[in-house]
Amino acid sequence: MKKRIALLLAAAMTISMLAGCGSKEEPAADAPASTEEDAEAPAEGGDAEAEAEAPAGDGVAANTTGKVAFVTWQSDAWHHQTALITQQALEEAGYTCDLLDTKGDDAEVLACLENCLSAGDYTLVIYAGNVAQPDVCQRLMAAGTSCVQYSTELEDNKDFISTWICSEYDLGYLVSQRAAKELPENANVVLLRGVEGYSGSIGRGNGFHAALEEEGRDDVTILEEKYLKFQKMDAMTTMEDWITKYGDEIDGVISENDDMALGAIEALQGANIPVGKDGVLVYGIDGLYAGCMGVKEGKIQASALQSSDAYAEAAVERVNKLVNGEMKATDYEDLVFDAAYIDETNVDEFIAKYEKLGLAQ
Amino acid sequence: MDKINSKNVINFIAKYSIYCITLLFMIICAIVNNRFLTLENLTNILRQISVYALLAFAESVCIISGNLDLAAASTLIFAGCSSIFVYVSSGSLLLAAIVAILLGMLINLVSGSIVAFLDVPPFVATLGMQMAVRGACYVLTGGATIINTGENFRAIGQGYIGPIPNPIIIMIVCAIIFWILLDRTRLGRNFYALGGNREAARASGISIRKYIILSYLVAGAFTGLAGIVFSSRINAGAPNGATGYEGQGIAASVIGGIGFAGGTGNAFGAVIGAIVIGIINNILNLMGVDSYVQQIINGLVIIVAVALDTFTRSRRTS
Repeated sequence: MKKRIALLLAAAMTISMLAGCGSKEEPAADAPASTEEDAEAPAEGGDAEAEAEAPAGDGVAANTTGKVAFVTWQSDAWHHQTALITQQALEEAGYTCDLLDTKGDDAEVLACLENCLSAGDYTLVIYAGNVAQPDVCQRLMAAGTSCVQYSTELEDNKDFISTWICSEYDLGYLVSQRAAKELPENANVVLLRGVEGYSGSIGRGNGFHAALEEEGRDDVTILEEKYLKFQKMDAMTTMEDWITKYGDEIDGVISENDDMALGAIEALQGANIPVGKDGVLVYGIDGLYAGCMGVKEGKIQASALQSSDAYAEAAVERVNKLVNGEMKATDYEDLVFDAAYIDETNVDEFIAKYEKLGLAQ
Repeated sequence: MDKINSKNVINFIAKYSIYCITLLFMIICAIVNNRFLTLENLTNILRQISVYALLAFAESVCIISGNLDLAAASTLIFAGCSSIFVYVSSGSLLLAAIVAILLGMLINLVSGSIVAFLDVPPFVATLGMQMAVRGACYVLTGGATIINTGENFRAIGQGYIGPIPNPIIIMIVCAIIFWILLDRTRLGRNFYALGGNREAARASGISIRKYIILSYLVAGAFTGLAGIVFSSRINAGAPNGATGYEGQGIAASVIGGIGFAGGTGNAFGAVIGAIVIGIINNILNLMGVDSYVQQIINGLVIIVAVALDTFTRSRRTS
């Protein structure tokens, strides 16, 4: 008896699986062709250029639920901030936004995207990762969910899914350009890098070196360059050791993020080495609240920001287009946002914005 | 007085193998880099390992009693971030430190209770707590780094009493307390008994559940203190910080001679283990070795140090 019941249940499961896999939504037959306009993201530092658009023609209409999934490394300060600001903007526009955590692991990115696919009703998925996910993205788009990979430009995504980026090279270049103008002659500099092999680190590092070269600062010596995983404590510990090694010979610190810059500052101050215009010049990237406060206090000379607002506005605009049928789920439109430069002249605006958004603590 | 002969020397080395290994490291480092043996550098090393040492005490008490705490790093961060809120609202560093310690104990009370009453293996229980507590920390901080730490929060992690940095003083005081607890109290002896042979301990009337929980409570106190020292050192509450630190604490304990099977080890061994880790990181930084190569070397040195120690111990017992 038990065996028969088990067999019946197994058969029922199999039939329901086959029935589920076999059903497909027909694409909307009369959906308007996708438009090919330049996208705009007019937030601070966020002027965007559309770099590539999908050819007009048949495609899969997007789900009109207005549900968005933001799939990213939630414990990274910038990514988390961008997710929150985007979520806020989407909710203000009457849409919903789920935040999914990838824990910085590309396998988790895939898992999150597959979960979105299973949910079946997302209009848009925005995700960050180091690798392209063509297979699952194709399935998502076929199911009416538009896909955007942000923060990383990958060859596999070209002419396929949308890429939204702010040039990492520009971020590195901007702060290094300021450093090149300010560093004393024959300056000794240390570079605090992020994660080796990560596209963001590669771009920022190239920007650092390019700016020093193009500004004619062949006299600058890079004493040390080390990957410290964007971590403040690692940067602080390493800087303490470099201070032991070089003493007061270090004239400048250029860091791939503000957290590491702040860690270096703690180490310098702990060794009673002045920081700022009359001491060691420190530069960072990210322009988050902590970095902006460092700029305001004169400890960090300059920072550069990938504008979270720009991504948020682009997300709202994209969902509007998808829901209104102006774009299809299978359409792609790449955007490049300008990096925002932050120094003592404009830092107060950014601080005020963070305080208004409740991101200051 | 015993004659100084080769047998006695070998026995001495075997007995104090990890100390001899540490001394050997230091001699090699001093030869490799002339900045290594400077007072500034040695002070740096001790300051930098202070958090590892406190975690090593926490892990040691767990391992000695036959348990484990994989949630130590998460607990450290949660306690550290919480201490900032307490300090900013009360202005009292002492209160902040007490709260950090109590929070560490509270979190570990949960871990210990899961192990003691639900019979969940310590590895599994604390692995779950690791994720839960880290998540709680993100909720507490909203995922953002806390930078408004008030006027004087950095005093614990960056201040001095005379010429000695506060973290070093805290580490030394805790090492003494830890030694007294393990070597001079019934609590310590019962921890060893619990880790050495649980059934024998039970037969001799030791309440297993009670001492499991007590071991986690003691560990939690050290972890909570490590949290405020860590957050004070970086002058921030970083919810994504200290990742992997429980591994450093365990490594320091094991290098220092704390037997992973439980029931063996001593307080100063944990300090030595942390010092070994600190020396390795320091000399590799001074030599400009790449971070990822550093990781490989760290791993290999841990294996070699423990293997040497195990070999010399087995020679001694045979």
